[in-house]
Amino acid sequence: MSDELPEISTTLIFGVITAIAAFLAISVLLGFLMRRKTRTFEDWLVGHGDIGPVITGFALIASYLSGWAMYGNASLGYTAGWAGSWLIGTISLMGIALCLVMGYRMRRYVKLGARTVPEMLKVRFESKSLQALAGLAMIILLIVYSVGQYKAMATVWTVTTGTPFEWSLILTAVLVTIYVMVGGYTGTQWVSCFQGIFLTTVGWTLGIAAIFWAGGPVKIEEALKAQSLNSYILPASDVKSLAYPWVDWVGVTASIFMFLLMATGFPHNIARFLGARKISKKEYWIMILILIFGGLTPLWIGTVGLAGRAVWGDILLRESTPMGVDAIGALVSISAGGTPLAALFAASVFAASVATLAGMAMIMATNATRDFVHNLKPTVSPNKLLLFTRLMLVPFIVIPLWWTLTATPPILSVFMAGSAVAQAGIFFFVVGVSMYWRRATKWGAAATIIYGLALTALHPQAYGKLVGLHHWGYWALLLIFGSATLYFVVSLLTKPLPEETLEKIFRKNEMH
Amino acid sequence: MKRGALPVIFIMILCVICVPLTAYYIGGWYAYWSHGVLAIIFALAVVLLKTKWYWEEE
Repeated sequence: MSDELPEISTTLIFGVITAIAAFLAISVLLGFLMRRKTRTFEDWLVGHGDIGPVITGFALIASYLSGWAMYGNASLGYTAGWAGSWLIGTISLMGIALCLVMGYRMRRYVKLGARTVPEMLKVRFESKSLQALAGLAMIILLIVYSVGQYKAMATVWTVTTGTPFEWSLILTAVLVTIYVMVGGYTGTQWVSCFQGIFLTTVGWTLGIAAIFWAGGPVKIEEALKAQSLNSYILPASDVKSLAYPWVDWVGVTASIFMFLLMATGFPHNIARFLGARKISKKEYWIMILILIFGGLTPLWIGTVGLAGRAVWGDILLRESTPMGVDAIGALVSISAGGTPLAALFAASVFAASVATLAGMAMIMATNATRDFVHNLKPTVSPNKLLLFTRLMLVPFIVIPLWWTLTATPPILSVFMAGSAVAQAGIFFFVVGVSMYWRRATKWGAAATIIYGLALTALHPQAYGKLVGLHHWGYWALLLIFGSATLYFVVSLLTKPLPEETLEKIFRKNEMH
Repeated sequence: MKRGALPVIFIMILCVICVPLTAYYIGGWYAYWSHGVLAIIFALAVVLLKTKWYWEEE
């Protein structure tokens, strides 16, 4: 263990490039092999409905473990010590398990013609307008989420290769484009399964290595205590500090609700069930075991930051670079595991952020194509739709890139949590609950989406301060419980679909 | 609500409540990893609920 920050070496640069290239090659190969089975645009979206529990389980882990969990968690542990755990997501497995049992009903909507999450809403509520509104909300929230992914990958690249941060961002955009062009996103579930296994293995390995590197758990705990980071609450020192969940128990409560609801609220998570086959009771238990292993990965990444803080103190908090404290994950990986672990970690961040970015760009482009163009003009040919989807990738790759270049968020996980609260508050109810609650109406769903988006703009670090909303906890609770209240109250006050239509959607024993 | 499921739901609620309590009363590594353990118990309970009381035959 050394108190010095690690230096970049040629071996490290070579190792990182090799690991990323190998990961890209495996993903492309898997994508290519699975693409041969895909004949139509619809096949590409949902496959053949034949994906089993192991693939679905690991794919769910891969879509959940983004740049936030796989990289940003280290910065949270480093910045706030134990208090950072409220955003590290030590309880994220609770939300993933809820997503597992609720998301399975997506299959029912696939049978009824849905191919995307907003299309599921069109089927559920017989409303094209709601489909378009949900598509728009997803685009807005996923753009915000993409900014964090950009920062994660660009930071790892800068720390391990010495490339200037701005160029690393542009390179990330190039990699995303290559990834999409060579088919890394086709054969989605299989590539995602591979990624899920990879992320889980690297996350656990790095977490354990970091604890040993820092001298063991007792030493880490003592070092955190010596730096006044021995509490799970860090009281706010000024109004600006209120924008973090760990300042009091209100923020903590809000973060717990966020983690309970967000896995189901993430459209990219729930979409994993679009291609799932019938799952037996025994297979459900297999899936939850996979999710337990994968769902503990964020905790191990959090320990990387705790170890970094114990060894290096607050050195990164005193530096003013665009990367800021987010550099900690890559720095610890170099010091704790040398080139091999640093290279594998860089490839895993690549998997978590670039593959997620590519996936999100595809989801946004598909939303634009199916929820707007196809929705307005159903006669457009599939070939034109596919071409339009490819064209729409450009803005959805460039917009978050521009955002990250011009306004880099200081702590990527805190930034992404803003979008996560909105996705939890809006889509847990609009998508998750609507699949089970017959009395839900399109008006309840629409009111929830509009309210959720308006509250998102009032995030304490966005426009919230203009209306006196400085406190993250109150903001998040207002968004989540306000959305829930509107969803139920407006639904109960408005007319649901006719009983015969609901019977078609909710009748039992109709799936095969 | 099915009667047999009530104790399981109670355990799930207890798991959530215990998260801030362990952070406040225990703290440090024990709280950090106990959150993971509470999440595992919660996750197993959710799947038990689904497979035992709310299974959808296809």
